Amino acid sequence: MNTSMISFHGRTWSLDHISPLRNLFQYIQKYRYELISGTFAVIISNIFGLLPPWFIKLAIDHIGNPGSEFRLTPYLPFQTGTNPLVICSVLIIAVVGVQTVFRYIWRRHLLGISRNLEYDLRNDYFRHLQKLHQGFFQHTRTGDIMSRSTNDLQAVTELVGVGLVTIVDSAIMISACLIMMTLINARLTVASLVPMIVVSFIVMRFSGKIKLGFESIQEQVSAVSSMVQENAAGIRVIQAYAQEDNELHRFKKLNQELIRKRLSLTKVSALFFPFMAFATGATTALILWLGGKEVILGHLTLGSYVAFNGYLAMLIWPIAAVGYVVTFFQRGIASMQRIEEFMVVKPEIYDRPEIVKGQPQLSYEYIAGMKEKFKGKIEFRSLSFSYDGTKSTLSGIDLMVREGCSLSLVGPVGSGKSTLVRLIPRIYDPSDGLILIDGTDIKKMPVILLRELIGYVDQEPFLFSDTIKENIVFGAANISEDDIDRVTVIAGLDREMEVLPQGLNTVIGERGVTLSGGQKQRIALARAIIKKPKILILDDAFSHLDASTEERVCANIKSVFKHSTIILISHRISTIKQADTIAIMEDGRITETGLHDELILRSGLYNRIYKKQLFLENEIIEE
Amino acid sequence: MNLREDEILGKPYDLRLMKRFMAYCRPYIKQIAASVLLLIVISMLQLSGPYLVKVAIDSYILKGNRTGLNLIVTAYLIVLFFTFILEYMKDYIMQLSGQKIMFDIRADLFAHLQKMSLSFFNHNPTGRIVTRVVDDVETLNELFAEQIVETVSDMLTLISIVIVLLLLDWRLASLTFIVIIPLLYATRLYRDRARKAYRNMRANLARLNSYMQENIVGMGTVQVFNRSEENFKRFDTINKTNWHQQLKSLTYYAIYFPVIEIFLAVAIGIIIWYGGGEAIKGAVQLGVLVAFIQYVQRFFQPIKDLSQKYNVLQSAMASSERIFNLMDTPEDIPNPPDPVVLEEVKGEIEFRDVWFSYNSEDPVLKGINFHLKPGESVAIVGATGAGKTSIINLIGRFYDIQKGRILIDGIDIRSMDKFYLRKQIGMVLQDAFLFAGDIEDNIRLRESRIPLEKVYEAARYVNADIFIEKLPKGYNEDVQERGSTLSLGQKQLISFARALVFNPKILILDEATSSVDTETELLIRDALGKLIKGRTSIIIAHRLSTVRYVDKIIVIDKGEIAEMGSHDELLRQKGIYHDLHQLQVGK
Repeated sequence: MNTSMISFHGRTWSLDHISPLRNLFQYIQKYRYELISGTFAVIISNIFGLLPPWFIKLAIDHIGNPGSEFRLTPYLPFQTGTNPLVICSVLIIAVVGVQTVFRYIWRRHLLGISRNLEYDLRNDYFRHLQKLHQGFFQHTRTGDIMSRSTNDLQAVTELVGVGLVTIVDSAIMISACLIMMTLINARLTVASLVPMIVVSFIVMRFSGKIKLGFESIQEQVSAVSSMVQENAAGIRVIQAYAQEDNELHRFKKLNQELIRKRLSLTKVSALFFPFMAFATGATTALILWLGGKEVILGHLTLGSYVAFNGYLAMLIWPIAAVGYVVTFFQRGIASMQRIEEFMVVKPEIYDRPEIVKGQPQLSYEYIAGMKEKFKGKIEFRSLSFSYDGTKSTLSGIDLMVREGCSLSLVGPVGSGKSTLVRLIPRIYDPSDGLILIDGTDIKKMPVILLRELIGYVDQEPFLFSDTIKENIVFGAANISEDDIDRVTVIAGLDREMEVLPQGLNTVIGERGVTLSGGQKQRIALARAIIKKPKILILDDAFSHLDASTEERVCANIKSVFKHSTIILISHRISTIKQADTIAIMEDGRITETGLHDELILRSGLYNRIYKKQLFLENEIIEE
Repeated sequence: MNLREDEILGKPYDLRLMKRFMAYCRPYIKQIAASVLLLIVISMLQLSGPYLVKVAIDSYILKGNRTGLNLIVTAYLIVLFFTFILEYMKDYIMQLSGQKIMFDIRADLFAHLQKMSLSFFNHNPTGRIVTRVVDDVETLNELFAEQIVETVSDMLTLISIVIVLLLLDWRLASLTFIVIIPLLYATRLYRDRARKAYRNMRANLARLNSYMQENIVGMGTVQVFNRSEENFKRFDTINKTNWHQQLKSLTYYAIYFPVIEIFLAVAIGIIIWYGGGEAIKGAVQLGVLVAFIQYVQRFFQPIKDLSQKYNVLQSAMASSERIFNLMDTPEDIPNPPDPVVLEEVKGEIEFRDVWFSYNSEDPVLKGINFHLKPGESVAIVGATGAGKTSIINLIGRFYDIQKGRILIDGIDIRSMDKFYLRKQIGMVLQDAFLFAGDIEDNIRLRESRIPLEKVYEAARYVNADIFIEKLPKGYNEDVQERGSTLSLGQKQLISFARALVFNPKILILDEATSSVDTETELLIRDALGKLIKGRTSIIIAHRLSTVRYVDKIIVIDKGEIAEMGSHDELLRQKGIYHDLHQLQVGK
């Protein structure tokens, strides 16, 4: 996102306080010992790495002039009878052997940090998502949330892994090589540095361009993914309306755009490695030329020249890498920022500190104990709600449902019925006003306790791709087989389950059998009632049931949940009319309340609905 | 298809798959040939570097020839410049043809998916289909643009270094090559372990991501049912496994690559010890020795690269296998080669002894027979799971029947063009699916030839206009993924309008208004009288009041037609319909 603000459905957060780099450091800090030992190992391994070219130099100088005195270093004479070439060979192998150990250590430690970070960050991200409210998920594409935990997390891991290693390694390598080169020949060193610096600068410029191109490609890939995702999810509609050709056309257009973006990036990025090779080669040529002259003039031995070249070869990659790693940094930081964008979205539904403070750990037993103290009386006090902060969905709701009583909500599509019941388990919090359960403000009780009291069946229930049984026991603890049998009977599922291949152990959803709308609704019902809720909320939960199944299930619930408070949304008078209170909702307000018998005598919406349904029923009878 | 096929990795090389892939490469054979040619030239140019250095040392530096040195440096620079230009050309051509090949594969794959039946989509999660079309093709692109070419180039480098070394000094070369044996052994050891680790990692990562995805989509449910803690624990377990696997794979990597350097050191040691001795004796030139050291260093790079590429190569093979498997999945609802052409569909529908099952074992429909005259309307009634929805799915040929015939205007639907057939049918389904876009897009499905007036008219007909006009942007109001900001009732009204705007000959309503309030439903129902006029209509409804408008009623019970007739006839029969009716009128 380019703006420094992030907004979801009218609520806006400033991103100014996001500091991806600082946060990244906090994650890394946890592993400072690995960081220190890894850096230490890089230093050792690089120091050792400087030795082989020196030994090669000694060997070559010896070969070029076998008669001269062989000294391992200018200061330490080495005078044994052993063949100097053997000494050099053995030393090279020994040095590399030691280096290997340290190389292993730094790879394991420094790169290990990135793996730890990946684990920590992914867990934190998931944890954070769990705290966010429903509005966030409604207004953020699933693919977008996912891509931050896949592509972006990977970029961050790379930044830490590759970035960290490269920085530590390059810094040490560059300074060590420069020292060695200067020791051999200062002038040559300066000459070779000039192209190096130019290379590094150009690589940096490249990186910026590559990053931009890369981002626009990522966006396009994500557009292609979304299109395929929607196409597969809505294939029924597409096929039913014979839209296949149009879809293919749209798909091709998106992909052509992808190719265009890829190729325009390729124009820049394809230059990168060839240019690197060119620049390195050119430096070698320069040194061949300058160094060759020095050798000819006798200012430099051939061995020194070869060693110099060896150090130069070691230097080229780290210097280029500094430029190259900029890309990783830019990508990694951009990705960390994207992850942070979601991490700073504040949870809107949470326990106030004073509620949690001083309370024992909210163990299951504690919650279960507390739950039993509640009776389930619900009260709405001058409640109002708005999804976006401007247009109010609910206003001035005052309503009470006594414990063990039932409330039916009736009203046109979009009148706010579902919104109202969603406020009870705090899927959303009201903009204004209070909801009390047994006289306690629901905001003043732990969210876990509140939700433990409630059994909620959504109008479009979400089931997990797991077994039916797992879906039923989803929110409940200490469940026996008897409990499961009991709720399947109440939900009228028992006979249907017997027909399924593996009964209750049948896997449903994307990886298993597909259920009918009515079956899904009743599994969701079983899931809600197995926890023996004090308050049962049924949001149009029977819309896909046929009349006789609905009748049966309703009767079951009524007899089993005699002492629970029930809130029911339905359009069918037959379902509604037995409620202890019926509330009519129109445009976010409650326009009428009362018993069925009272309401039909007034001239409001209920009366109209009743008459119309009665009229329809009579029509059936008459015909 | 195997359910866990995402987690299976194939062989690194599979001839059959390569052939399939090559077929896609054929149109771009010229470009590919050009880049391979460029590649060969480039590798030769690259190899000439150390040789030029050798010549510089032996022929000019040691002999003090500065003019010669200038010349050779100039030659070196020219070589470098050409390498640069050619390499750029090669990369660009390669990307260009790679992208075009991917485009072709992707388009073919997507087009094939459009032909798949509903049962295919029921059994293949959306996430998997997206992976096929997006990620797998992307992996294949990597295989093409980088791996194949680079592997070829690595191989070429290896072979040419061997040849050059042998030409320079075959004895020294042979001695140096001794190192290759343990090197290859170590590489093999690493490769096998790394492969296994990589495979486990991918399998687990697939689990990790699908678990996360499901939790995001179902987050509301997770929260309301207090499952956050438990689901986090499960997530953490999978994440921790991933972490373990990552570290394991890292350990292999951290051992193998440093160890390779030891072999390199040994090779250099041999060159210095033996070659150096020979050089002192004058049997080998000093420049040869320097060139040898440089070549040997270059020899190790491709080997390291190849051992890393192995994984990518392997997963690319697996990707291509999955892609081609999908392309080979036969269309289970094939369009007839010579479809019967109908000038105009009148809308007569006939079911003749239709048997149908989703899994070819448990029949859902058992011998269904009925006949609808053009313009006639029927209501299908019955318990959930009785087979009502199956009947209407069969009319649009979303599934094929096992026995019997379905005729429209007397013609078997299997001999009609299925797209033409479906265009005649307007379907409003229980689960109203909306696309991301705006409301207008969702009603006319981006068909610009349908004028906006028709869209408004259809919305008015089903009374969707009331709520749509209240939205801030009206018909241009954004619709989120899956229509998540609209209520189920609102979504149903939109998909109802969608069916009407296409002006179908046959209208099918499957509990199309189950979540719509009574007033709106009544208004729709009033309109229904007009809507079904002149259209053959099939209506599934749980509320029997709809039957007022239909000519006949079919009662389905356990996959069979239990009763059929007009409302009055059925009431008189005192069967299932009679009982249902009694229940609804509350008697």
